[in-house]
Amino acid sequence: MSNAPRKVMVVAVREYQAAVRTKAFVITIVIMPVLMCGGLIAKKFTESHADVSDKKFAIVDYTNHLYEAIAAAADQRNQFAIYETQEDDTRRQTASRFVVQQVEPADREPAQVRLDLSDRVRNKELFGFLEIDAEALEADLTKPETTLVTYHSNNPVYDDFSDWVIGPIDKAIQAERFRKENLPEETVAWATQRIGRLKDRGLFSAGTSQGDRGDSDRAEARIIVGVVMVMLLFMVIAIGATPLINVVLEEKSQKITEVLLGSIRPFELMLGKLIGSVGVALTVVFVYLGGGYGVMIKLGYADYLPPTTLLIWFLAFQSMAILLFGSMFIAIGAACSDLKEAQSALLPIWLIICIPMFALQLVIREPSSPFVTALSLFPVATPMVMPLRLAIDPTLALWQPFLGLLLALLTTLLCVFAGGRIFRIGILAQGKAPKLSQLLRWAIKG
Amino acid sequence: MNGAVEIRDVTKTFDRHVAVNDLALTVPTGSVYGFIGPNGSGKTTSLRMIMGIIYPDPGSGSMQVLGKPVSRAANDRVGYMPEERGLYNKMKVRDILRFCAELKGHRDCRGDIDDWLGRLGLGDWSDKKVEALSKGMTQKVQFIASVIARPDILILDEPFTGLDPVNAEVVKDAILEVKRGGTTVILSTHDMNVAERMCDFIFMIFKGRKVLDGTLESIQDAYASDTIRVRVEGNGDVFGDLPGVERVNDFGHFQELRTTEQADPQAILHALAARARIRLFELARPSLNDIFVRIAGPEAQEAGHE
Repeated sequence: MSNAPRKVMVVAVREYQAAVRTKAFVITIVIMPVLMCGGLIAKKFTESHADVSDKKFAIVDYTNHLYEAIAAAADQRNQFAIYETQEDDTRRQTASRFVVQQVEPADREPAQVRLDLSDRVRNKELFGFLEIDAEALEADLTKPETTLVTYHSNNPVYDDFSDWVIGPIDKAIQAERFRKENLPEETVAWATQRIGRLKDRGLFSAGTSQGDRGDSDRAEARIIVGVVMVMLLFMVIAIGATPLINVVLEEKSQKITEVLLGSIRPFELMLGKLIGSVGVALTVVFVYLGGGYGVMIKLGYADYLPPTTLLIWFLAFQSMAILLFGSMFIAIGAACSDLKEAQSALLPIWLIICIPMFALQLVIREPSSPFVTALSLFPVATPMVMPLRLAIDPTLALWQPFLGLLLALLTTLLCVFAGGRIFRIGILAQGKAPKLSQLLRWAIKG
Repeated sequence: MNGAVEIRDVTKTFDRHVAVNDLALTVPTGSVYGFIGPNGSGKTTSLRMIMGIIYPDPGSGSMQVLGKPVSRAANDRVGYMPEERGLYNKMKVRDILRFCAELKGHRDCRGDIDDWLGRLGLGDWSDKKVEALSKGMTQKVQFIASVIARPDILILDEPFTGLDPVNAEVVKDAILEVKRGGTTVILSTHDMNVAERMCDFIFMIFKGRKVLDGTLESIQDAYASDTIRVRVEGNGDVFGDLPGVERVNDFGHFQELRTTEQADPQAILHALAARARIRLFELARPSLNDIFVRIAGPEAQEAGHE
């Protein structure tokens, strides 16, 4: 091996060993998925700790015909819809019971009734109250400005009741109107039947015997695989590339850099660090993928494992991401004197890294829309968005990932080159961090 | 050009500050070459340029190391211990030495590592992390890192700073041993005694310019004719208005008289004998320290400003 590649590899091996042979790495490997899945865990936790105490609502029904139907629907809901059946067949309450009570206006003015009920809400006797106008049965409900049914509470965020109650009210108004028209109950029931929820059951493929079932399970599995890959990439950048800043800052503050530069060119030193980071990232990926594959096979879901080609694409894009963002991190580490400075400089880069995360839902919903296609070809977003698109849409034209890879590669080379120049100058510089204009000058002029 | 290092008319500018100005020197192969000069005079910049860590201004002269132009590729035949030194704290001593050796292309270095650690009294610390070492020990490890790949040129920037006398002696012996093995040693130091005792050639840089270059003898010869060392009986207050004496440096037990170029030592002797009983009168060579102070001391600085 000639000099330069050998030196690069010596640095890469040291960086790899320094990163992997630490307790912190092992702990991070374990904790990172927990942190990344924190949202799901938090959701589960909040669900299991949701407030399920009774919520009382007053109903002022000026039609005198709808309250009974609403109360019956509430009873029905309270008996069945707010429970979740556990594995041991016991039921667990997951939502509050809606306890409705009719309020008679008597001889009070509507305004006075509203004031009284509002006070009861403020005093926590009630959670909210519903007012149904006397004209509700006769008036045109389709008029957008209609205020025939109004809901009032002290908590505009809690919309469970208002979302739910409109169903029973609609149904009761319909029933009342049919009754007035003397339509038989059976006829009404038949005429107002609804299909209900329509579920995407996927596509059919020749040679498979799925009966009336399509491949919706596989489509869902592909989305899960795609999202897992994005999360994994995010973790890999956090574990593999981010520590580069600390390493460079340590070398700078501990005066190690000049010792190293007596033996190796700055660009080779930087390249060695990047390759070491790619090694760390691949280790992380293999640990997680290996674990994931093992679990999937053990649980009998081997059919849902992603195809090898997708994995190859993923590994290519994740290596590119490490080189791309790693070179930026190294340049920042070299240009700054301490971690505080570096963290400020790092913020814009993390925002760039997070762009695909913000667009995740959009990519999943419409993986081939013009915007998502353009986003996946935007080099700093490509490593995250393109594997997700490839996972979700197996029919994606191959020129797209290839073009994405090419653009990302060119951008990576540019970043590594510019980062190398900044690193060479910044690594021996002391004192105040350079301004952006100075960094650009270092990158362009060297 | 046949020295280990050849520098011709090299200039290095940082922004508007000229750190090294038209520098020219030749480091003879196999010698110990001392770099002296006050802080900020351009020593470290010169050494970094020899190492290829920083580059001279474009188009300013030439630099050759071991017969080849200094390129951007680090030279594996040159060992370097910078003034601002550091090691990875979390690495074991043996691992970091192997890392440094491998960076220089010296793979089979286990024996050399054991040998050097033993010689410098660090044999029991080979499997300890750097963070567990004292400052002196760390410095010795740093020295080993610079010589582990058996370099042809060894550049040491202030190698004795921070070492106690015992460890300084150990490192000094190690440097001379390396030299005896044929390695050219370039040594930057503030300690004039070290330079006098160890260096075959001395080079002094001041405000970026070369002001001294040669053997200690040749340098002292150049300044020899202007110093007279005397000791007289009495309180020594007899030197005022001596003909041809421009400055008296009182060391307590004796005095050094610096004379003008035209001064006649015989005339001074007669004048002094008329004033006091003389115990010692010798034409002396100035110490390197004295020469250093003459060139870079406050008086010289003031003269320079005038």
